[in-house]
Amino acid sequence: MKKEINVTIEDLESVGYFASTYIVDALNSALILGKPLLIEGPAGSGKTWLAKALSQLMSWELIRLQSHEGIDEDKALYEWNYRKQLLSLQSETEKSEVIDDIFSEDYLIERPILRALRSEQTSLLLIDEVDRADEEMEALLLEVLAEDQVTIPEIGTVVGSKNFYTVLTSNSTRELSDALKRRCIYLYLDFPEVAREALILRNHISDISKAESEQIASMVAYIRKLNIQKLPSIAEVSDWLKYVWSKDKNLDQVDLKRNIGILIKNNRDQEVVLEEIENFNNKQ
Amino acid sequence: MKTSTISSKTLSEFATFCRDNDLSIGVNITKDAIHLLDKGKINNLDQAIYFLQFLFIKDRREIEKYKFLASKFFNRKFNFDIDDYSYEYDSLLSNFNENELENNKALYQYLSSPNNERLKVLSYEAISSFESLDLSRPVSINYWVERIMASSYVEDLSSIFETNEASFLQAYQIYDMKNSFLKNLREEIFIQLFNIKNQNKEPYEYEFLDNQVDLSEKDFLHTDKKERQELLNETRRLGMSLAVKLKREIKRKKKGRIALRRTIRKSLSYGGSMYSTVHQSKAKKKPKLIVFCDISGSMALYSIFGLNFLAGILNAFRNIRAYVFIDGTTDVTDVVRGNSGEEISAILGQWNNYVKNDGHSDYSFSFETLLDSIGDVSSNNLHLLVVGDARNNYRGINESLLDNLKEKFVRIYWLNPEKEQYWSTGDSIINHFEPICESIQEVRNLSQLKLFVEKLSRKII
Repeated sequence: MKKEINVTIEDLESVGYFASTYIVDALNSALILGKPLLIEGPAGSGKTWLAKALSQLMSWELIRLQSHEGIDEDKALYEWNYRKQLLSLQSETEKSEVIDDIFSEDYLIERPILRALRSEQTSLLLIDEVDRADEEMEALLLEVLAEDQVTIPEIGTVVGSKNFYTVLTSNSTRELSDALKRRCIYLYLDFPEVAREALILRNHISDISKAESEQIASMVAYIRKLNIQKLPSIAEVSDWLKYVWSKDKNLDQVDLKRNIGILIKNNRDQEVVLEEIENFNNKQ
Repeated sequence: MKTSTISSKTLSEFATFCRDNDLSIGVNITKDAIHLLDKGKINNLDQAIYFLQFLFIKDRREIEKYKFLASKFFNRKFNFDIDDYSYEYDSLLSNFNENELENNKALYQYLSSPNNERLKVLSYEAISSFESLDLSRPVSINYWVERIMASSYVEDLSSIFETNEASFLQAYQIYDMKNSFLKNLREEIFIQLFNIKNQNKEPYEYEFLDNQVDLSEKDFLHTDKKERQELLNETRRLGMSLAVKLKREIKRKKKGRIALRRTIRKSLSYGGSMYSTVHQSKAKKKPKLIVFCDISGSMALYSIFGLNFLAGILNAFRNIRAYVFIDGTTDVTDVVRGNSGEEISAILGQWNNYVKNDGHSDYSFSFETLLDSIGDVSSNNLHLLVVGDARNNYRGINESLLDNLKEKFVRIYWLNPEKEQYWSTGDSIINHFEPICESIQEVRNLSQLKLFVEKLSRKII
């Protein structure tokens, strides 16, 4: 049985993550039930950061599996050390020794999921951007997520030490299967509200005032509501503000045109944003 | 067994109720729910329903549905909003023009202290001031909601939000406040119209029109609400299956010829045994697809199917773009991608947002604006899929436009929901497009769409 843990907004704040009650409640539900937490939301809304903050807060080892197209069990679960197996077979022939089994623990290479399952210390398995992986990969995850175990055909079932928690993140680029979702606690993590983003910005830039940070956060919130292809992430906003702030501490003097590339990474989006911000300012 | 707030029997019944209403919930959820409520020290029903959302909801689109089902099952309204970081509307009102506030007392009262009764008054006034409302016409309620939302009464209400000398933060908060108010007003108007309409008998009976037993053979136009929903789900699945086919084919083609030198070199690390082969990588040639959908009045219902079909493909591919048109073009890729059927149908409910000129189909101008908006997309593998009846309201079509389309797209496919016998009659200009299209197919039902998908998946790759 996994140990029951409860985190608070203040706990997460102490490691630099500014969460809302909703986020903390979803996280605690996953921790109470010992179920994987599936965090879905737009890119750059702080999904991976939440997992990192949790591992830092609890001093758990973070075992990360970055998903991508074509990822399979060799990269995610385990792999046989073929080189060692071949060499063993060759030496067996040369030295006339008999090797019992080349499909044993000695020849097994642990990949992130197996490592987390067998970890003696409490660890956090982060399966990042699971939507980038193929559907076959999801099927592989089902046994791990539901039973905390994995079946290796040549060895048998490896049962996990129950010492690990799992967080999955997804950018919703494709629909995940119902079977996978059913095994998880679901959290939709959108971009932060104006006041919370302002708090994050103040944490990154020490000498900015509350009013100034809220002004920037509200402008960014407006930009995120425009019809643009890629919405600016929290990190991009923070980078942009750091740059602007280092040049001039008077935000009224900021010329968005000159440094928009830090905030918006698409030419068409840049045009839309500049035009809309100007229209918005003119309307007021 | 009983938790502090809900008995396990009630929980189990609630789970079954949600499952019956299409929330994807596992059979053993009750055990988890009891554990969560017990260990989470939940002590009232509101908190319990709030916490159960993390177990019951598996998609952000299900949040509203879950709230609705909980309200229905427990026969009371639940509010999940937690105001960690919300701002006070009241303090913003000082930025508004006093005269405007004086003229809009009902709105002022609602904004000072939002409640449902005040919203009902406003929506009632909005409906009663809209004189051309005629609920017996065979159009959806959404059509009337959008007409009322675009009326001068609502326009006047909105003008209160135009303020001067506000900081960006205040201006944004006011903008947010306006959007939130209009969203609530739209919902309330919908509910009131729904109630008014359902007091009367349905003006149209569909039974006598077409009564095929096999649903996949039934014309989309002649389906009832339940059948339509079933067909829409099936249509979306068709889109997804086409996407899977395309993906597999692209993957298969990714592997190039065997690289002999690198294969031999790799085999050295296994003591000369040729354990695996190395292939030359082949540049991926993903098809780029533009979908162009007519949403004018005559096409409305078929377009819902077109867009749902598209949604299935869009979720698997990033390089597909979707446009709707009437007499000008609008990019709806982001609306369609990752959204539910209801949200997609809402596009058509708000069709007057997409009217650029007179509200009648203009294929010539729409294609021109499409070419303009994708002007910078250079691809030797660009495909166009058009969903439309090619009824151009007796407007002409430019020959050079056809040449430009032929030049821009490798292949053009056309889904025409009109019966083939009526093609090229009256104001139909489908014959002009025939020479530049790879195929034009009549698609009025699911089996015709399936046939088309089969064809498309073979040809597009």
